[in-house]
Amino acid sequence: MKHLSRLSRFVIAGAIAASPLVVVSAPALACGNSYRYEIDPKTNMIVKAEEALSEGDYAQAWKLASNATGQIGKKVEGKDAPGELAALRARSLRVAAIAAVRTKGEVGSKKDAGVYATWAVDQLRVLSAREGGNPYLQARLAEGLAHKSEGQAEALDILKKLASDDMMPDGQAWLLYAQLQNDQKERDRGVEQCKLRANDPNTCKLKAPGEG
Amino acid sequence: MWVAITALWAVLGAFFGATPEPFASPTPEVAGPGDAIVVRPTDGAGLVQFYECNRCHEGGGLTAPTADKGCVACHARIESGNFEAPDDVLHRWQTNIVDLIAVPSLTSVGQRLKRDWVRDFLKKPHDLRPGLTAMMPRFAIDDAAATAIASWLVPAENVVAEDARWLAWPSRGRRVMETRGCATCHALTGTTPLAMSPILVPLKKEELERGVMLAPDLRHVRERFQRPALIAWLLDPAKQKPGTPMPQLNLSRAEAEDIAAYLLEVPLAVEEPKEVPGRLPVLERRVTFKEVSERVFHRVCWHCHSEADLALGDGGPGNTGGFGFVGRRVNLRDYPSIMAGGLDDQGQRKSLFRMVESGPLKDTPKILAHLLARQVEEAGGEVPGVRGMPLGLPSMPASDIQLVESWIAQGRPE
Repeated sequence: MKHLSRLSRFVIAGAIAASPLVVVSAPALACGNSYRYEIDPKTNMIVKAEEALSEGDYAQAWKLASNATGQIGKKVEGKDAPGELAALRARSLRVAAIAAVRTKGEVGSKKDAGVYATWAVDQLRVLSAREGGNPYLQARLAEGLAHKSEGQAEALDILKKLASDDMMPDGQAWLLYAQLQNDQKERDRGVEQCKLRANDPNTCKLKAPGEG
Repeated sequence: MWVAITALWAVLGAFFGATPEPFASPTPEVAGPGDAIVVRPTDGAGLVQFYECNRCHEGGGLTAPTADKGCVACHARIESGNFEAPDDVLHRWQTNIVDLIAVPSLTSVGQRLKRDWVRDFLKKPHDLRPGLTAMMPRFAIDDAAATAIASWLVPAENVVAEDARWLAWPSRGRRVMETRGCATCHALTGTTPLAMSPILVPLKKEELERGVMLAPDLRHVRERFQRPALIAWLLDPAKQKPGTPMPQLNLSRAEAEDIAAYLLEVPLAVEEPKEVPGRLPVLERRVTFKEVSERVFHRVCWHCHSEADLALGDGGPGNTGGFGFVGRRVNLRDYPSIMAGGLDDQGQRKSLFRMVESGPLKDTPKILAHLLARQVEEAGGEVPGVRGMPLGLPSMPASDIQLVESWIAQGRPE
C-alpha cells in the first residue's frame, strides 16, 4: 500500500523509536468519551454505575446513579440544565431505572418496592422514547412491565416487535420473550437464541409457573 | 399507608423527576434523514462548515473549531501536554493516539493547487500521503458541492499555457532531487526510486517527523500543480505556505525549474490497482464480543460512533452527525448499543445486522459490508449504497474482518 523508500522507512522507524507519541495503538477510548469519563467526576460516577449494573451489583448501581443524578441536577443557576447535562442526567436515570427493574423495585426499603418499580417503568418509557425506541431500553421496559401480570401482554408485544426487527438486545430479552410466550415453538426459539447470545447459557432456563 | 406512599412518590419526584420528566431537549432526539430536512449550503464557505473541514484542517479561511470538535487540535494539545488532565491520564492518551496528529494545512492552498484537482480529490479521495495513516474521508459530496468548495479554496486560478521556451532539463532535476535529500520524506512511485542523500539544511526533529508524515507521493504533483506554482513552491515553501514542514532548500531558479520539469514530465508507470483482499473463512472457535470489541469496535469504530450521553451530547459523526452526515444514531460503544441498530434513510431504526439487499455485497450483514466496502475503496472502487468504514482510515486487517464475520455467524454472543 505504502511506497516508502528505504531511507524514509529508516527515518520513520527512527522517529517511532524516538518519539513517545507514535506507538502501537492500544484499544482506544473515543475522544469525547475518554476525557469526559476520565476527568469529569459526574461522568465517571455514571460509568462506574453502569459497570456495577453490568456486574449485577444493582444496589451499588442505584447508589452511584442516584448520587450522580443528584449532583447533575435539573437546574443550573435557576435555569433548565443545558442539553449536555440533560444527556448526562438521562444516562444516570437510565441506570437507576434499570437497577430498580432488576430488583423489582427493592432499591430502598422493601415496603416501597412497588413505588420504585412503577417509577422505573415510567422512567424507562420516557427514556426509550427519547432515544427513538432504543431496543435496549425497550427490553428493560418489557422486563419492568412483566413483573406485573397486567403488564405482561404489553411486554410481550414489545419483545415480539424487537424479535421481528432483529433488534433483541441480549440473551435476557430472548429469555423473557420465551417466558412470556404461549406458543411452544416460540418459547423454544427464545431459549435457543438466549443460549446463543448469553455468556452463560445456563442462565437461559425458563421459570416454572409461579416461580420468581 | 397511602400517605407514606404519596410522600415517597413526592420525594422520588423531587429527586429523580419521577413521573416522566420533561427532558431539556426541546425537540425529539431522533433526527434522521427521514424526519429531518438537512439543508446543505450551496456556497463554498458554507459547505466547508457543513462538512466540518476545520475538525482536521486549519488555514485557508477556515474558522477555528470549538474545543470539543477539533480532532487534530485536541490531539495536538494532548501530544504537547497542554490538555488539562491528570498526568497519568495524559500520558496514557499520548501513547494511545496514533492518528490525526498531523494534517496538511490549507493555508494559501489557492496559490498552489489546481482547482479541478481539489474538486476531484474531494469527490474521490485517494491515498496521497504515504506517511499518514489517515487520509481525506470519502464524504457524501456531489459534483456541485465539490466544485463550490474547490472554487472557494482556489478562487482565482490562472490556467497557464505551457511555454515552449522552457529550457529545463528533467534528468538534471532528478539529480538535484537525489542530492538534496528529497527522498528522505517523499516517495515518487511509478518510476525508479530516487536515490537517498541527507537533507542539506538543518531541520529540527519535530520538523522532520512532520515532514515524513505529511510529504505527498510526488507522482501526484502533475495533477495538483501548475508549473509556475510548483517552481515558486520549490524556491520558497515557507513564503507560499507559512509553517510548512517542507524546508527551504536554497535552490537556484534553474534547479527549481529542472525539478519541476522532472516531476511534471517523467513517464510514470500506471498505478497498479490494489487487490481487494479475499475474505477469510469463518472461524470455528468461539468468538466473544469482548474480543471483537477490543480489536475492532472499541479500538477504531467507537471514535466516530460513540456514546452521546457521556460526551456532552455529541456521539460523533456516525452517531449524532457531523462531517456532512446526518445523525444515524449508530453507537458502537458496547454490546447493547450495537444491538440497538441505527437509523436508515427513512429515519427508521434498523438492525446493523440486516442484510444488504443488492450489489456486490448482497446478503452481507450491513455492519460487515461497511468494513468490506473500505477494502474496495482502497482498490479504487466503491460499493453503491455502502460507505467504506473506517472512514478516512485504512481498511481493517482481513483477520479483524474475519473476527467480526465469525462473531455474527455465531449468533453475536455477548
